[in-house]
Amino acid sequence: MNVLTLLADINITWYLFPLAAVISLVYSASRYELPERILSRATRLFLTILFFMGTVLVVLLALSF
Amino acid sequence: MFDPRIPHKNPHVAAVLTYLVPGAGQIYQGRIFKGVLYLVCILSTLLCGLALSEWKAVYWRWEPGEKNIAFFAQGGIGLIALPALIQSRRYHHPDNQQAVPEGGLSAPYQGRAQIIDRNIDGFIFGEIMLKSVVGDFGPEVRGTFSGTLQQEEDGPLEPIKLSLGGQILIEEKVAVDHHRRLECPVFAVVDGEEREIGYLRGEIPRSFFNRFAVPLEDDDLKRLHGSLAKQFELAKVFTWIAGLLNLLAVWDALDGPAYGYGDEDEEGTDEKKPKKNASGPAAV
Repeated sequence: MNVLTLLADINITWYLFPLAAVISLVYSASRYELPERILSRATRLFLTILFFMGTVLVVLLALSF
Repeated sequence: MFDPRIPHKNPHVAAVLTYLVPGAGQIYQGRIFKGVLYLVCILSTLLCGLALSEWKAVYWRWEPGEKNIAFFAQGGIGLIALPALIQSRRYHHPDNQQAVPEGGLSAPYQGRAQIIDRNIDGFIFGEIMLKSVVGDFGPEVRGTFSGTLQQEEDGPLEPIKLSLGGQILIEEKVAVDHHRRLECPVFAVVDGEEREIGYLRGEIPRSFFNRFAVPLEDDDLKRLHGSLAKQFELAKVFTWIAGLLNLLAVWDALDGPAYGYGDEDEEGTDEKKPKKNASGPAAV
């Protein structure tokens, strides 16, 4: 139960990172067969998602002023 | 995309296996890396969502006014979709409304006893046994409670045994809460005549099997939204994503990777050049 309590206390924004990683890995795995290729494409996709989300965050922050 | 280097074995069997357990079909095909990757990624996302929602995010409910459309996303994983369908059937089965099963009921019980005749008003815990019998006026429920009574906080523990019967109130066997509320009158023979002398209010535990993936009623949803707030919404999103990702894994088991084997552009310089195993005018 302690782990669940810890999970519940985390700001939900941090859940984005493992979620983006999982989506990147599974999506890339469904596109290619070679492990090296899967991992490299997953890394690129992960960084792209974070960049996109970061851009949206910056835009929203700018608009909130 | 079909590639002769990928062992497909029986792709339909593999697809069904992956639908049931993420990655199982790929492991069956001998594609261990992908199988383990799907298993770890999708299952951890699903379990994380379930744990965050206190194991209540996935359920099947399809009634006028309350349709859980999200189940079509969560249902991408057979491991969770099939139990949810079974639990919905068990939840709505007439037997679930039956107060005491034919074989009787025996369970740990804790609650409060109020017996005015004996000046008893305190906390009780012990074992309750109930069974259906045929009485003077038809079928009725009879039983006993044997356990311990504590009348005051930090007070002495006293053994207690009670006879139960009459109008028993007991919640369904299959429902979402951890405990089943159980209330029943206490009977005793007074002056040669059996009569009601008090009342028990308490609960018996409900097993994980009887509360997992059970349809949530409106009150349950309100309570969960109240206690978990955003966490419940987040948990549902995790289960949706897990279910949808598993559809990609099922397709991969059935037809192989969508773009190709992955060595088509090993140099990484020209990703748009034609794939070696792609059919087209050049192959003619």
